Amino acid sequence: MLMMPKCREASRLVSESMDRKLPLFQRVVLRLHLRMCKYCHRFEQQLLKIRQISRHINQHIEHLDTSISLSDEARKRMQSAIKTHSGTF
Amino acid sequence: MAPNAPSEARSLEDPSVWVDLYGDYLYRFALARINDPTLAEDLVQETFVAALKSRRNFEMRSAAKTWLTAILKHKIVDCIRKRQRERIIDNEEALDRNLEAFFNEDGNWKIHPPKWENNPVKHYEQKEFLDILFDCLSGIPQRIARIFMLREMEGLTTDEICKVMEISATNCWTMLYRARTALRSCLDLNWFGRGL
Repeated sequence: MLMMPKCREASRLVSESMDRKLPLFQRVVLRLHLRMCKYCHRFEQQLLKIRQISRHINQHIEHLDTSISLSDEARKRMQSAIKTHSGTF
Repeated sequence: MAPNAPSEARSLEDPSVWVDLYGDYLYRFALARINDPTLAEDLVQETFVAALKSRRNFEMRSAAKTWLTAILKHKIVDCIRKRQRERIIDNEEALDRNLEAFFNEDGNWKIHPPKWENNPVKHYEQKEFLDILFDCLSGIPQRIARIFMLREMEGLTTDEICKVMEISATNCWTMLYRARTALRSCLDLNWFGRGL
């Protein structure tokens, strides 16, 4: 009596499998479902893509335009804000 | 890199070097997302102040720069959210209803996830794509967006997120599911589905 998950449940399991190792049974039924259902398979690929892009953002920001910098005035303001708050916390 | 290394290592204990070490970098990042110099400066300053408050919680975990950038990203998303309040799903139930609309009563897809054709591998290098991603993030409830960012951008584990956000693991998985689903459909509409 193998209960195959419906797409709603499968999509939830796809997401959960990105955060922890699913229990064996769930893992097996999810893989079977994904093999048969192209939309859930696509859903999984897209979530993985979003993850890949999100993780890359931290590297991307290294390529920002280095000619832009804070004005001296802003710099001083921040220094003094840090100084003020350093004592407080 | 070498001359900076010692100061980088000490910089968490010594906030007085933050502006010199990270100010420009954070400002560039904020400006790239916000396009408003004054507002970008404000966000950087708020980031420093917020960082002072929570310094002790993070000391062991990450380099100062990574950690400051993480705080700044949350501030940017909050800031975009405030600007666009009207079109935002700000309660979590509405987000769920949105999610439910994708499935029919027997639990199968009603709205099939379409193929993502607009492919190039390097979306993340395109400013426009990043604008849309941050915009989409700003459009989902704050707490859920935060959890998503901690997980997918900063790469925290579920356990770490549970501690920071004071929620259960099950709750955390549910919220990540909602966040991913909402972002997926937002990117569908605003990026991948363009030109269809």
